[in-house]
Amino acid sequence: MALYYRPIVSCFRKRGCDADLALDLTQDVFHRIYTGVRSFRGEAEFDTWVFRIAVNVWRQRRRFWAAEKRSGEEVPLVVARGEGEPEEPLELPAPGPSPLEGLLAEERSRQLAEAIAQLPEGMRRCLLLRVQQDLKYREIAVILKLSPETVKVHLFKARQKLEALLGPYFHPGLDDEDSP
Amino acid sequence: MTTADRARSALRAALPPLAPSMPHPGDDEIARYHRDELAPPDRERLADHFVACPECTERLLLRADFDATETAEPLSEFELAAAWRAVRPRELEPARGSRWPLRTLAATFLVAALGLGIQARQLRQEIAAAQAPELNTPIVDLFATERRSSVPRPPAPPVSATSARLTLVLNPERRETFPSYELTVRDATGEVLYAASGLEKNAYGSFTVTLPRPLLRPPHLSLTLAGLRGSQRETLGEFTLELADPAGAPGDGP
Repeated sequence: MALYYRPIVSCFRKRGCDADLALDLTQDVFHRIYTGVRSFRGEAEFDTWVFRIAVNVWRQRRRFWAAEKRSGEEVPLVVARGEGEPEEPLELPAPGPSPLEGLLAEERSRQLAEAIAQLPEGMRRCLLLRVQQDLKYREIAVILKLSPETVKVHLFKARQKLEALLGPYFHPGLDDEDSP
Repeated sequence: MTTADRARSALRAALPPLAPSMPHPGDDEIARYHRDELAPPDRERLADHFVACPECTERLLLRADFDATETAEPLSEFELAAAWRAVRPRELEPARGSRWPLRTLAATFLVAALGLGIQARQLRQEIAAAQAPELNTPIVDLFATERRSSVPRPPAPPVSATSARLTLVLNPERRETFPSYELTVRDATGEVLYAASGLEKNAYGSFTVTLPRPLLRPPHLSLTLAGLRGSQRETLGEFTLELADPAGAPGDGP
């Protein structure tokens, strides 16, 4: 317990849990360790086994939050005619782009994918992690085994290259870090 | 939403969806990747996977935080207390069911202790009864069966002994003196009920022995008196004793 207490608490705190919640989740992890330690067969390192339990607890918590969000009250969209008259459902335009917009989007997507494929490996990975997974420099650095400064440089150069390759299709702001 | 956020959202929408290129790596493999213990091809393969798989990226980041936390310093009292506070009651709940063997064991010990107590009390009573003085203890004079005599001595009448002890005076057929004497008591089936050496001859050339009544099984007992000299053993006399059964055998009737 002394060995894993701080790492587990730290994991949860770094994912935005307040102190009480991090402690609750840590206690959940320890409880699972106590009740499941007999099922530990030694196929993996004990360290990895504990870590897997922590990951499962964290995922369960995220699913709980997602379920909480989904359980909001449903309000029907209706058009009120007047007192005593039946309400009619509100007619909304069909969601999604028009056929022309769809065509343009497909073209943009193809050109962007081609441009990204032309980027060097490190730059491409930094860009995709930043854009598609919305990660911070520090997190990208951990994943790609780079320093945050190198990540920043990669993203800056990727922006320049994409700008050169795509011209008007390119959106600025790719290498801006919102939070330190 | 900032300009940078909007730009990334637009790019994200324009990019083709993520498609992980390989099965998800195991936790061990992720740990080795984080510790930089993988061979370069495996490292590249996993890096590509992380780029395309948010789920494994999250596992890797968790692993990194897990490994980065300093564990060398011992936990403070507050941290230990906090860690144990909620675990303890929860840990005890499932354990409650598994305590029944302990309770059974405790109950067994309790019953055994009670039983032993009762038995010890009965033994103490028996010892007290055996040590208590007894009045009118019967004394039976027994004469050895005379093998050499042509006229056998009539057998002694059955002894109706209801007392706790019975004193026998053994008058042997032979009168030789030995350094030590031995007595053996057998029941009707020949089973040895009592055997002891160290008897001493009295001034009248006979031997006196007091036996507890429960030791002697009615109705027929045979006693053998032998003299001991070194490894030599010589029979000095055979005796028979008829006991009346206390439950109503001969001698007890009106």
